[in-house]
Amino acid sequence: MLAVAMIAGLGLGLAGCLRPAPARPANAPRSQTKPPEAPRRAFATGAVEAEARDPQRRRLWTIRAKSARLDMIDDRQAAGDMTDVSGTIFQNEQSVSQFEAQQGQADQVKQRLSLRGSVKVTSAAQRAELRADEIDWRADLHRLEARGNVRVISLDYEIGPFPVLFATADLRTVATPDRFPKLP
Amino acid sequence: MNRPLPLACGVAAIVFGLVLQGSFAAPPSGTGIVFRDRKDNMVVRNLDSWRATRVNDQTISFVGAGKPLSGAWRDQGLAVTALSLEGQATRQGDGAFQLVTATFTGGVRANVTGTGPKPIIAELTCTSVKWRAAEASSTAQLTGNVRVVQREADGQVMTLAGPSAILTLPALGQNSAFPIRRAEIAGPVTVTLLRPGTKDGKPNLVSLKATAGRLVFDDANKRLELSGGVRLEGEDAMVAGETLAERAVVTLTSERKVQEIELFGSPGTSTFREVRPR
Repeated sequence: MLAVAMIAGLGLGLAGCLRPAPARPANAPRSQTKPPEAPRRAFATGAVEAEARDPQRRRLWTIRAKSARLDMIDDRQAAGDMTDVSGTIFQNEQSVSQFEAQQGQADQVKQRLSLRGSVKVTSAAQRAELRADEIDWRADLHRLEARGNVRVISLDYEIGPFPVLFATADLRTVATPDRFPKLP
Repeated sequence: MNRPLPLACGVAAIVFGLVLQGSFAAPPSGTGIVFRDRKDNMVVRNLDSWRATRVNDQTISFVGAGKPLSGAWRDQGLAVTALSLEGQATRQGDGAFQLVTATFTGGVRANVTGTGPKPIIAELTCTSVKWRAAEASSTAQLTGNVRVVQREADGQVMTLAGPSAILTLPALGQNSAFPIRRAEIAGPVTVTLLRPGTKDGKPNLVSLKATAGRLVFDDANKRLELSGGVRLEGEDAMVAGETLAERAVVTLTSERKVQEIELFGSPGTSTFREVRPR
């Protein structure tokens, strides 16, 4: 019970930290001098659970890790390096795939989740799994970018190994970069 | 649509293995990227570019390219090498993906293999093929330097050549040793038949060559019709020297050997039949 409470507490803390920094108002006067660099701090934690949202407050992903190192800037902006990660990728508030990896780095500002080491992204709807050495979820571009020994393994077929392969978050479309559909 | 014939599939696999290692073998400098379904029925190799999208629970659409790529659809008796491929395949009840539609382009070489205990392989060469499978029959539209070569066990080789062709092929699951039901080739068409015979009293391959404006081959009626400025050149007993006609109808035996050639057009009609020694 205590462990769960700790995870939940750290998760809430990380989710809060991962909020993007507020933008400068358009009519605010530009500073002539360079502002002092914000203090940067790093924390090592135990198990964490976090959630990232886009500027419209839509969920991008949830992530759990056995341990993490958090970089915090000015108590507002942060990136997280996590170990033994797993979680869920969302699109339009719907869970579309699950992931697991040895390491993960979450950057809510860039809307990028970087997974490293024996990475697997699984889509139950497509009955398919994307495996690679590295996979980035680029929420801003609506695509997974897999690199290194990339394979798609489904109940129906298997394809690979590709050096690089892009995929939609639900793995419905998989393609080499030259053939991946452009955003409208 | 499904054929629970493991022995036949095994034989087909051996045939395809030989085919792929032979004249249609993938080049050694392959990318190593392979698509294969769970039944090893649809296998596409040597891809360097690919996109696959699941259309519905049974169907995937795909686009691929290679230098060249090679694809095989074992149950459909189809093996192809080409520079690019675009199509759709559906998953059957046994998990095998079968080609529904496809366009192959760029230096296309395809083997279409019949079914049954003694299947015959038709070798197709062209610059592009549009393939469409349907329940009654499949069709293949070939364009650009089309050549259809059929080799028989006794050494007979028939080559049909022209700028474009439409082939009708048996539907999946239909047993047919010869894989081409009908062929229409738009002209100028060249037909070359090399068959075992004698030349200068010695066993040799003798040739029969025909050119025409159009060719229609109908396997059900064992009939090959040439029309439009037909010119026949032969060096055997049936057609020796050169003959001109408006139309030529070649009747074939059940083993697709030339049985009779009828020529139509001014000044009249001529019929050639092979005279076999008694």
